[in-house]
Amino acid sequence: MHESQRRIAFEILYAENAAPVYRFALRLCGNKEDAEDMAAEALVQAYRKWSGYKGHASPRTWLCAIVLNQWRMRQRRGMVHEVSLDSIQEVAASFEFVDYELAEAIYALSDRLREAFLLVKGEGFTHAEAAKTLRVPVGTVYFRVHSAVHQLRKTLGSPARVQMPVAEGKVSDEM
Amino acid sequence: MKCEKIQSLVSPYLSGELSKKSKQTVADHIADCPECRLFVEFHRSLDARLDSNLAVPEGLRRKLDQRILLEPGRKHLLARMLGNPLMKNILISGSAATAIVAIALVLAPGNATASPVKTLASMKSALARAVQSGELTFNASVSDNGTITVTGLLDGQPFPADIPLVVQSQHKGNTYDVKVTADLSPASYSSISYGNDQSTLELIPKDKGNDRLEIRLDPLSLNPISWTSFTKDSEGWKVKDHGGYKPKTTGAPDPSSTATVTAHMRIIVAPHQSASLSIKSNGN
Repeated sequence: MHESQRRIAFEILYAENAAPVYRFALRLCGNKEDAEDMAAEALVQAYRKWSGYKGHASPRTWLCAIVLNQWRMRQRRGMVHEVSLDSIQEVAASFEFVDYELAEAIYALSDRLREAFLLVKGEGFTHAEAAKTLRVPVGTVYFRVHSAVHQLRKTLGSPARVQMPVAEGKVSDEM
Repeated sequence: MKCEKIQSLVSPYLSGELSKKSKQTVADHIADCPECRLFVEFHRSLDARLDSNLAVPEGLRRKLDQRILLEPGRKHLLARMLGNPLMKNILISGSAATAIVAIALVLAPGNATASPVKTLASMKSALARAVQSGELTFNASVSDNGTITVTGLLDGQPFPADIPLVVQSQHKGNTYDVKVTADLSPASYSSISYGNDQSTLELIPKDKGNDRLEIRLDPLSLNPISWTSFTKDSEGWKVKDHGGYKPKTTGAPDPSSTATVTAHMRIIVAPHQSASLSIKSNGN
């Protein structure tokens, strides 16, 4: 691909995906600085590896997968900043209506539950896409999203009686 | 089936990922179980609460450009061009005619002061406002031998010949249905550069290597003032068409507007006669 064509394609990719990729990064890590770094790194990798992109997944799926890998690598290297009151405000502002309660509740989730929840409920991934991105069986994604929603419901105060799952497992849609 | 099992399937149920049989089982259960209905409502309320209008922060684009521009051999003339504050003024001025200039700039690597995303938004916005203010006109004519000719007027001036104007038509008897699309998306050009000086922009339309469009810019304001299209034959480049700009539209860019305008026209031609039709945008 000619350089100018690659540039055009990249700018279109950026215009369509930068906001959701940044949003995913921000809600995942909980602070603006790290989110900008991770989203920028995902986009740089997309730019560099453009010729290798086969279009098997949507660009957003591809970019969010890179952000997720960045996030996990940072965790392993201890490069993740703590989620502070200020950073919660930034996350709360990422919702259409500034929502501190929801932002805090999302950070009370474990990392694994938050990842699956944000991919599926936050970014509209199918469970199958999330499973591929997270490299787990689709039943595990069902379970994690379900567990996350249960926990959020408990935290955010739902009138209904719910039973929390006690351990990670797999859920099948076979009945 | 227990509520817990049903609730664990609510997420794939709502996203339409369950098998037909499982979907029916969940739907039947929800219809009879108030508690599971509440759970479904909570799921849906979360979807609404997670909605977002989050904008891309300036810092992200800056970090991105720094990393891309740091790559060896990446920085070139157009990268420097974007640093020119006068060029930035063009991009946010929003006139219909500046759309073409904006297209030029969206191809160039951005920097902290002129984000290509903003450029793209301005470019789209410029055309949309021209349409909304009734400044875009398509003229279509059908000759007696059935040849269809379409021209465009933007802000009262002839459409630059090399702005892609896609014409699709079909006819039944003497009734011609014509669809015209003006596409000002950045992918329409394969090359953008300055001419001999920074008062001329040169654009080469995609898949038309023998055509070239030059836009003259006012040296002080850098607003576009005229365009000339060229075509190349065995003897070299020759002027094909020429026109001027007289932009009227102003206002803030609207990033949600579109860069493509389509008009549908039906022309009925009497036997062995020619006919023409003009359609002017009315804001719809």
